[in-house]
Formats: sequence, C-alpha cells, structure tokens
Amino acid sequence: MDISLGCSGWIHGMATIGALMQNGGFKKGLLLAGDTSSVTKSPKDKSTFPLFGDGGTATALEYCEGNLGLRVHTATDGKGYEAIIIPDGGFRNFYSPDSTVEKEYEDGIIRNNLQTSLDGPGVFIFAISKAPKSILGLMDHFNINLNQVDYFILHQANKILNEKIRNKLKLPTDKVPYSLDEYGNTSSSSIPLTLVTRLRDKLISEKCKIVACGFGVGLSWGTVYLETGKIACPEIIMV
Amino acid sequence: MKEKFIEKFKEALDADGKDIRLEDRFRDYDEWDSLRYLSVIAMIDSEFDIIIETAEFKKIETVGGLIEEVEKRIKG
Amino acid sequence: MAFQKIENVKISGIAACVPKAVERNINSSAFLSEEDAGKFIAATGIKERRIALPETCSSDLCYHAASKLIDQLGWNRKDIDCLIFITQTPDYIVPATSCILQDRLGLPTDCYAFDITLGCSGWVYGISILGSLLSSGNFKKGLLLVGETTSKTKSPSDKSTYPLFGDAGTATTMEYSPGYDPMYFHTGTDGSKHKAIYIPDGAFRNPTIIQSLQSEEIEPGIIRNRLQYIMDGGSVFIFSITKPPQSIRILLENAGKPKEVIDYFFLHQANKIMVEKIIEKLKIPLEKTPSCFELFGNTSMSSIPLTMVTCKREEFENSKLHHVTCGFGSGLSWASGYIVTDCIVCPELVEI
Repeated sequence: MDISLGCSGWIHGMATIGALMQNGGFKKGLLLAGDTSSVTKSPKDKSTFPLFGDGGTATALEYCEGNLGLRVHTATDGKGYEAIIIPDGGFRNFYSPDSTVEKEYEDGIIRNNLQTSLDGPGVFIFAISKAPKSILGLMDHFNINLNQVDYFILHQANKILNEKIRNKLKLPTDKVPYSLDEYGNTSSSSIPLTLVTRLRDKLISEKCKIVACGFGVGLSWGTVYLETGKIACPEIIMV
Repeated sequence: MKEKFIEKFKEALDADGKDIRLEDRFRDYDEWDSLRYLSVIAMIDSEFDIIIETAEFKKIETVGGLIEEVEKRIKG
Repeated sequence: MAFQKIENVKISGIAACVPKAVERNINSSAFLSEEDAGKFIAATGIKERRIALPETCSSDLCYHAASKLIDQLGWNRKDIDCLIFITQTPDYIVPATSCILQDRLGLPTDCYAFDITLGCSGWVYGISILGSLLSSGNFKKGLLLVGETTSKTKSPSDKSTYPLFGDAGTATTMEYSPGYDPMYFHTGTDGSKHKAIYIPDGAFRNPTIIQSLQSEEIEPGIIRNRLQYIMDGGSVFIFSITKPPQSIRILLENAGKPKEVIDYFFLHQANKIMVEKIIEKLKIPLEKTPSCFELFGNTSMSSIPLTMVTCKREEFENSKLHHVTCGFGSGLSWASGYIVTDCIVCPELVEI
C-alpha cells in the first residue's frame, strides 16, 4: 500500500509497518520512503525550490521475538494544513488550464497552483515547538535517558530550524548529523538518507541507540526511538 | 470435447440455434461484443478450469483456434 | 505469508454517506443509444448511481458518515487515537487529507493520522491495518474512513467506465478489545498488471500538462482524456473471477472456518457479471451475498461497508454475525477478511 505523508512519513511508516509485523504474522517487511519533491516546486520560487532535493530510501524490517522494537510518538494538526500545500491537482480544486498559470506573490516568489506553497514562518514556529516536545515526550513516556541516546536524526528541514531544535534540547553537535548540506530537504526520505550518508560506518559495525524525529506537511510529526545492532547499510546509490 | 465446447460456446453467445463451424471467425459474429467476450472467458474457466489471458486471446481468430488452445492447456 | 490473524480488536460501528443526486443509466450520456443503455443495465445490473456535486470531495462524504457514527456511538472525539483515510480521490496532492479530517472532526492532535492510496481492496486492507495498530493496545479507538468520488475520474463519454461507478464515503470505528474473536486476513498484490486500471497522467510518472486535458476518441462510445480512467475490461474480469475466489478459499482454510458457518459474504460490488461468477465459483447461496450495485454502482473501496449499511443494517445492529469480506481492484490488489461483529452501531444511510 501507499501512504501519503511528507516529512513525517518515515516515522509514521515505521510505526505502521512495525504494527503490521509485531505479532509475527509477517516476517519480513520493506518500507520505501521517497519523494521527487523538486518536481513540485517552482524554480522561480526562492522560498521553496532551493530548499528541496530528491531521494528514495528502503528500510528492511524483520520480525524478531523479544526485540525491543520501536517506541513511537505521533501527532497531527490539520488546522495547519495550508502551511504546506499544493492548491490544485487533487479533488478539492481539480486541474484546469488556470492551474498552470504563474502568479507573482512577491519578489522572487513566482509559482502556479500545481506547485508547493510554503508558509516559512508558520512551519518554523510549528517545528521548533512540536519537534522538541515530541522527542522529550517520547523519552519521558518510555523512561529513556536522553543522554544515553547515540544519535538524534532530525528531519532535514533547514540548518537554522534544525539548530534551534538541537539547542532547545541541548544536544551536542556530534550526536546530531546533517545531510541537508549536500542533499537539501528530501522530505520523507531525509531521516534514512541521513542515516545512510552520515552514519553508515557506525550502523554496520556497532549497536546504536537512535532517536529520529520527522515533522512537516499536514501538519504531521512524530518521533521514533530504536536500537540497531550491526545492520546492513549499502553505500548511497546514485541514478 | 469439441461438441461440449461448441454447445457451451453457443450458450455463452446466447445463440443456441446458431450454426457454429470450426473455421468461423467468431469476432465477425453479429452476437460478438465485449460482454460476449467476457461470457466466453468465464465459460472456458468454469467448464475447463482454464483462463485465457487477454494477450493470448487476441491471437486466436477462429472457433477451432479456441478449441485447440483449450485442448493444449488441458494436456498441459 | 499473506496471512494475518489479528486479535483483541473489534468493529464497533459502520456508517455510510452518499450524495443525494441520482443518475439513471438508462439516460446516461455515455451510451450512444437507449438500446445500448438497456443492454448494459441487463448485463451489469447497475440501474443508477449517486453522483457528487463538483464541490463535494470523498472527505466530505466520509466526514458526514463519521460524524453520524461517532455521535450515535456516544464517543468523545478526543478519545480517538488514530485515523486512516483511504481514497484515490484526495482533497489535495499535498497535504494528506487525513490531517484535514483530524481537524474537521475535532480529533486530538495526538491522533495518528495518514492517507492510504488503494482502490477497491481498500476497506479490507484498512480494517487489517487499523486492526494491527489497535491490537497491541497502544491505541484504543480508531476510525477508518474510506471513500471515493469515482465519478470525477471517469469520462462521461466513456461507456466502458462512467456508467459503472458511483460515489460514496464510509466510516468504520474499531476498538481495542482483549479476548475478542480474532480477525483473519489474506491479501495479495500483482503490480505486473497495474495498467489494467489506471489514470495515465496527473501524478509524477507523467505529470499533468495542457495536453492531459485533451479528449481523444479511442473508439465509438469511448472518449476520454489522460486524467480519466482507463480500464482493461477483459483483464479486470479475468482477475476478478480468479483471485478473489481463490483468496476467500485460502482464507477460510487458514482460519479453519467452513463456508457453511459464514452468515454473509460481502463481495466488492464491481458489477453483476463479476459478482455472480465469484458466487458461482465459490458455490455459495445467493441469499448469503447481499448486493447494492443496482442502486449505487461500483463505489470502489466503499462498496463493502455500503452494502452492509444498505442491505443488512438491522442485522448488524441486532445480531452476532460471522462474515467474509473480499475487496479486489486497482493495483492489482485484493484482500479477504473473516470478521465477527456483534450488535454494532449501524446508522441509517446518510445522504448529502
């Protein structure tokens, strides 16, 4: 099945596939999370186009009796649905010839109704408030010591926003890897992409305690805590 | 098998009194349309436990061709 | 491998909503003559369908079904932990419609919500997924909304698709319930046949361009553009008479339930020809297979819950029922489920 979510997609995906597998009915599962989000951004829109990149990822899970599994917190606030939106092309506002007409919103922001509109300040305020709360809430609920977590993988929104979250949580820089410098915001694939490109050596050779937090379109957000033990992690593939 | 097939084929076409010959190009029959096509597929499935996929069916032109295909599949 | 046994969960209610507007196939623009229309109705059994207004989306139909159901159950909306919305006609490409519904329905922000894209297999898949989420007790109450405005994705000048489909939205509530009769599922997917039912443009393989809106005559009686459904009737028929009966047989064997103990078989309401062939193959009595395609057409993933509400509402409210459900369609995807319900809430059909 397909799940339609954006930057919180990998978190929700892990929780969903985990739920499907947890009673042992399914033994092996594959979570594919990816977006070619550059296609949905106007190259003439400085508020969106330069932020985003494309990526696709695969996470393999296995049923494993007695394993810790996943600890998850998820949340949704549809009041903010217009903060990140493509106005036309769905069934609320179907395609029409007008959908492809470009409009200038302000200097440097030109797009049509089939391209993403992003309320930067609104998303910023949402993320710096909800992301830390989600992480801390999860830690608290499941009695996990923040200091014992090896890595915090945040959805790769942008450096300013992510640094605000890191500082709020008082996390050391060496525990918070970034991949956005090279790949930008790759939406649902940003967390696994960061794991592969920045922590591959650790993941294949050591046990790791990881917190991952995704937040974005919906508005939707969530956090996963998991422990990995020398997993398979091929080098990044470029096509 | 031929007689059974032709009998059931006529039923599927809803043309009991029709004279059916092996060399007939069934797509030229007045009765033939997309619904008859589905009926024939269903008939072959329920009478002979054989499914002829769309791509394969397209290659068959005559009633005799259909019977040959069914016989071939029965033999395995 | 495709089996699931899901424990500790029950369905507590089912509701459905359809548009008020009725379109009668005998008068349909899709046919070249009334004679053609008559033949179609005789073959498919579909006399009329409900058609949504241009401004009505599947989420609206599901919203009304859900509101009625939640109110009749007496549930506090803030207690609903998860929401799954299954559709092929979302409000927007981005964001997910489930997020918008979370807000519209007054569900808490702690709600786990997402959209799933599936077609006619959607309700059965949805029950298995929501059931899995609830079965561990992590979530206690969940809402499955499935609906589609199928009429909007078909060309009114295409006799091979338009007169078959109707619009509907449904809501099913489920609860964590330790010790409840387990549900069993068998599911399958065959992506090699994904073009049997598809819309060529509009997503990212073939993004929408101006040419996507240009209508083309494929053959007399079939005129459509690239944002409208293409259905390979032959392949879909073959699929429908093979995979669903096979899946139901395997499901019952795996669940250890002989078909004689099943009260009802709720089959996806594709059309009369397909449904009858499946019944024939399974050798099940007609009175155990309620249908609603005559008045509503093929309502995609809503068809199973819509049949339950419109055909067996009172029995659902007053009896314990053992039923088999089977959805099959675009993907190609199929799913069968064995489910027990016991005096659930089942409001009358909502019409908007």
